[in-house]
Amino acid sequence: MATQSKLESAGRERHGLDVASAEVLAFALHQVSVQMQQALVRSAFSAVVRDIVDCASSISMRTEAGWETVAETAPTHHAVGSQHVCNFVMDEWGAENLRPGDVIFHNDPWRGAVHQSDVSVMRGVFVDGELMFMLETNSHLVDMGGPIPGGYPTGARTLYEESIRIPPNLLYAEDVPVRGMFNLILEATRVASLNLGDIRALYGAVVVGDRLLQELCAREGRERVRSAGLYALDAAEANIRAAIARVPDGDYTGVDYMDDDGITAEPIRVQATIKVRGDSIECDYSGSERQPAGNSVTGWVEASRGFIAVKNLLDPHSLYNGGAMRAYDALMPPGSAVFALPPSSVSDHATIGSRTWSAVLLALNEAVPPETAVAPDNGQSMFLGLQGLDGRPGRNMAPFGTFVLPGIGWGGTSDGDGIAFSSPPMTGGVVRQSVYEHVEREAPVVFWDHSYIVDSGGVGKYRGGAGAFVTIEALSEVEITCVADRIRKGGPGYGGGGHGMAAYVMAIETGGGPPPPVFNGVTAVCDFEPVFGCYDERGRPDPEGALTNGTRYDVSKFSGLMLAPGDALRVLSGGGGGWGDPLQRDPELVLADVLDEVVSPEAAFSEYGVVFAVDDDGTVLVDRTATESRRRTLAEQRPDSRDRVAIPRPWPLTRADMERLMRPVARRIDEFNANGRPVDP
Amino acid sequence: MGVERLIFPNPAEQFLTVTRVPVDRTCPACGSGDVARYPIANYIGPRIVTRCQACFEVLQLDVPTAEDMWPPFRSATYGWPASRAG
Repeated sequence: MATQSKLESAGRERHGLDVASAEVLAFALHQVSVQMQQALVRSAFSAVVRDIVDCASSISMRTEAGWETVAETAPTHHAVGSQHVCNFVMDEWGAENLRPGDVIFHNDPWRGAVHQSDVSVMRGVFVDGELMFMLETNSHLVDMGGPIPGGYPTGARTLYEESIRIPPNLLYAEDVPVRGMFNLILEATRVASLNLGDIRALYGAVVVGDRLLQELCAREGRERVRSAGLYALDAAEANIRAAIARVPDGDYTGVDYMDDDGITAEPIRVQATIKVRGDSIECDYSGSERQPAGNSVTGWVEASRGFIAVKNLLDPHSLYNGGAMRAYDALMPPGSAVFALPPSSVSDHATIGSRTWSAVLLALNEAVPPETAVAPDNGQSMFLGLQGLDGRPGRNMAPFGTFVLPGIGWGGTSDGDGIAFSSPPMTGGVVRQSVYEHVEREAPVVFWDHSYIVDSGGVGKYRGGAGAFVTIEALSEVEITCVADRIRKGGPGYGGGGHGMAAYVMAIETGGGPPPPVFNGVTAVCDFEPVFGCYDERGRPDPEGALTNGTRYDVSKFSGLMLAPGDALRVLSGGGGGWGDPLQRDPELVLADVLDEVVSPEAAFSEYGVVFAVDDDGTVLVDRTATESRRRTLAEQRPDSRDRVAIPRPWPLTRADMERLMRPVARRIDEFNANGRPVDP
Repeated sequence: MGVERLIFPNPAEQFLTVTRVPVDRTCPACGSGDVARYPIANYIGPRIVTRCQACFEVLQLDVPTAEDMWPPFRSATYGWPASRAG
């Protein structure tokens, strides 16, 4: 009620609008940003925009403070930093130098771009001759040049080894294309037709936004629309401040680590101290490690990205815009992992972005009650870039470039199990997975499978979301870039929950034969070669193993892996952390997981303490007496499960082991009960 | 202003900190003498805040000057007269 009262007050007294009109007009602004986004997605050429929706649209309005984003879609793609981009660019460009129909292009991480592949297109909206709004659309372009296609040049140490970095430049002058800029972009990059289509889509979307805002101002009056924009900002601010005010004042620190920077296997510390005072938050990254040699950091965007965790945890439901950021300030040590300085390479934003999100989340988990706390996710998009020349018949060795995001497991919450198969919470789950039929049409690959991995979610009263595996076979030579993280342990648990499964990549040579058998992500050791991940000495994935047991890489990020025709790559993305004590999980939920093959009977016994019986008709039931006894034993053996790391067990060594693993679950349980222990090769 | 803010050496320290410089002022909201000045990224972008550390009252919010070096990077042409092409 206090918030509602504040909204009434803001609408009537501060902005001269009754609250109903203010709400309607504020939502009209939001709807313009939605229309921009839909125009962009519908008209883009590349799968990364059209299918994955790795793009965003926003409307910023000039206020007394500067440019503030009054409406935005997919704000987490911007990392809620659209208004930072706008202010950096307009501070440098000068509003007085912009004319109607001028469109500015840039992709500079030190001016707020997420990374060089996420390009911004900005257009002013002039109403009655006054520059009132700045529209921005941005998207990931398939390729922005440099030595490694796709925008994630693992191994780069400086910006000079990455995609081209373009400071703000005119792309259109009064709606006439600036030929030099188009030529620069199209001639320095590999997939000119996709880039041209996407840039025109970005431009078309800001034209759509311009027209709709002109119509809105003509219909409602410029000052009423401006007032609605100010109201929208105030409302978003009021919502987040009300949420922050419920958190006890104090300093809360969260620490997380990137596994590596793609060059060495040294972990990189990320620390966030959340200082809460009243209804304001400071996020201080002091204590974070200096910028590593590799490209797994960013130029500016962590200034706003930690706020996503604040919003996710404290106020996940209200519509928001740049006004919410008024309650949040970031302190970023220059030269640190959260704020690299040029000429550092900065193109892999996905790793540091997920880690700042989780560090802030871990800090906030200390501040909020358990029912609000959330276990972290597996911490990376598990990005795969596929590039090369298409050698399929009739494709004339045409350049191709596309992406695969298999999805990861989110952490468990007090409400239920973690989400599976999603892009990381750092993106808000807004970025989607590839449409494989489209990828197969555009690139010389075939997808064998895509499903969840058994036993990959961190154990808990509410388990972590399952990780996903996907297998890609090359039909002609394909160059692979992979960006992953959490290859030692998956997302950590909360309140006694365990870690999710770590990430793995495996190479499979078919020799022209059929694909080897796979069971919910599990392949016999005899059928794959480890690419990265922790394995034991016999080659089985094992969190207690080493990163160097037969692997091609001891790091989780690589470029330039060449798949020959007939070769396949299997990616296992890993799972989210569990929430709460797994021994408190409802045994019937464990049974449902076993029947769904999300949890194995062996893990049900060893991790959840659930014992099953098989009826004469083959029905699997929970043996409640045996379960209670088993749980008492486990509770005496371990105080909680925070150190447990999810991994499918038993992991088969041979095809014969695979056959045993793939038998009906009732038979596995019968054998298991007869032996009194897991059947582990 | 020239090219001196385009590239920077790698930090020597392994772990880095934003320094909060104590300021000899009293918070008008809570009366605390624990007031500090430091660089932040706020909702607009880079700013220099003078803030009470007890209650977070903002005593002063400044646009960074050249001496503040915040953020460190700045284009070589910042502040130059604009041509039609920018």
